[in-house]
Amino acid sequence: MPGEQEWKKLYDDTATVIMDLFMTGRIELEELNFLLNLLEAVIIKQQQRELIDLLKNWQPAAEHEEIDTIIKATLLAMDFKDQDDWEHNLALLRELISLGELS
Amino acid sequence: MAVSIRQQLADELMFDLESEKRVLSSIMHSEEACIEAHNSLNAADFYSPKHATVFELTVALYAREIRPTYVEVLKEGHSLGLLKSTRDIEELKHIVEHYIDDENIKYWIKKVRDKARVRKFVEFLKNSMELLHNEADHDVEQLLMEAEEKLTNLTALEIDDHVDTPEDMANLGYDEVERRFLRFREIQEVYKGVIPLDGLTTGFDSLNRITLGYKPGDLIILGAQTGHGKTAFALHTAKAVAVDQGMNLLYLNTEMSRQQIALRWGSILSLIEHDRIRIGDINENELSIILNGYSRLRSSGFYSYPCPNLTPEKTISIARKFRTQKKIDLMIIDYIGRMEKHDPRLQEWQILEQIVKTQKMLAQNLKIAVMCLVQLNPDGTLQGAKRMKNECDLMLKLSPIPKEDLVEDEELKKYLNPNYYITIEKNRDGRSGVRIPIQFDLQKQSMKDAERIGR
Repeated sequence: MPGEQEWKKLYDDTATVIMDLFMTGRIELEELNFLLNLLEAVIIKQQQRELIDLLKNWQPAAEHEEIDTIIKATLLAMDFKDQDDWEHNLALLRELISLGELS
Repeated sequence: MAVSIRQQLADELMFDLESEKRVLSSIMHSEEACIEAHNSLNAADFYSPKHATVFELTVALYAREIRPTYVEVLKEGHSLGLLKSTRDIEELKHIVEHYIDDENIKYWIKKVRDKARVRKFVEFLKNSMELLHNEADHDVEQLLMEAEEKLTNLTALEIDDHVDTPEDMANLGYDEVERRFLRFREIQEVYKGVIPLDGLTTGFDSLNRITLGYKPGDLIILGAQTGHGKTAFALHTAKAVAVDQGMNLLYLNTEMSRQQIALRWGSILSLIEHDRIRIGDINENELSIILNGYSRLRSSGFYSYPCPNLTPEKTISIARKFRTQKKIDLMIIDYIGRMEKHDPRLQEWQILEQIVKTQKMLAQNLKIAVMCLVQLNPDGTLQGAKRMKNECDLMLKLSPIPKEDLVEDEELKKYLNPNYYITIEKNRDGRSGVRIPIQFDLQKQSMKDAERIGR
């Protein structure tokens, strides 16, 4: 388990990498916001373990590109502050990812 | 080379970028550190403009109830157009990586604040030097007084924030109760029931019993109408504290000359009519009594500062000076209605309220008692009284006893020749709404408790 300083460094480095990706044009603004919000939720607020566990199972692949596109669009549209919307989208994602695993 | 070393030393004196970064990093990593830093610092305390901007960003975020983490600062900085390149991100990352243990935040805040104060001090020295160069004919007294005021304002009204933990509060409470318990036993055994004072004597036994004296940090307001004994009350207090009790006090008078004050003391200490002293209509025996009185004043702790153009700022610098040099325990301002007022937009009562607030802070900071004399309206009311009452610890009114009261009030008949009331309008530490009958001899400038008949 990392110590407090390691957590701080991990958080800072990750945030910087995400910001750099945006600054160099490799991700879009909505992707930037999603990634920063996710980082904040996971490390600072220590929430969304369920989403992280779900995303660990997500294996984007050419054969189910359409499903992956929907998953990504769902992720980017997720409102971190709206619990109902969050639960709804989480259920949707669970379904989409299992669909991808099957195909 | 020598210049370079001097410059380096000067830089080290003026700012500490390392500490600034550590404070900012801590703000972004810990909410407790963030609260502590926001309470203790402002953007101007940071030497680096970039650091000041980051600090302002964190303040703005927190004001919107968003914890200013690194991610939130990145988002906010980007949305405001402050982060335009990867270089800007790298600079911010460099700041945020100055990790500290969160419990050390006060240490780093103090380092940042101390440097900011040094810079203000250097600015003050530069301005003073420029003033000396630019003005050919100096009024040295005025120059020094202004410099002292400015210097005082750099430090005077900064109160160290202190939060009592539950343990602190419990310890303090127990200590206070224990102190009172021991004192009560002492009163019974040693003083035979006479309560010793917590602070300086008021000059009246009955007022002492109710207030236990004027304590450090107390603001006392005494109101009276014109010609009804404000200065007599002030000098009676001064006699009790500085002559009888031997404590040091500073008396600021805005309307009387040094000679007038000195002559008043002649009456107070000799109990010879003031008018006779003023015109010299006294015999040799009385002259000897007066001389004897002044010898008591000579060895007393009474310091007088007649100051017709007194301002609230000047009271701060003078009080600090006398607190340091003469260890004064009480300052009397006679009277605040005559203080110079700088802001024409404010109403009279607003200015008085500001003055009173300043004096309360001064009393607390210097741990002295401050007594302000104020003038009552002809109907006995006080402009802005409610607000003044909020600020002060003790509010007293001095007023003549109405003739009908003397005839009809059975309680008053138990006293020997009372002619004035001291009314306790507010008393933070005890009873209020009490009227104390006293004897005030305007001619002899003397005041004392009205004696009860048949004691």
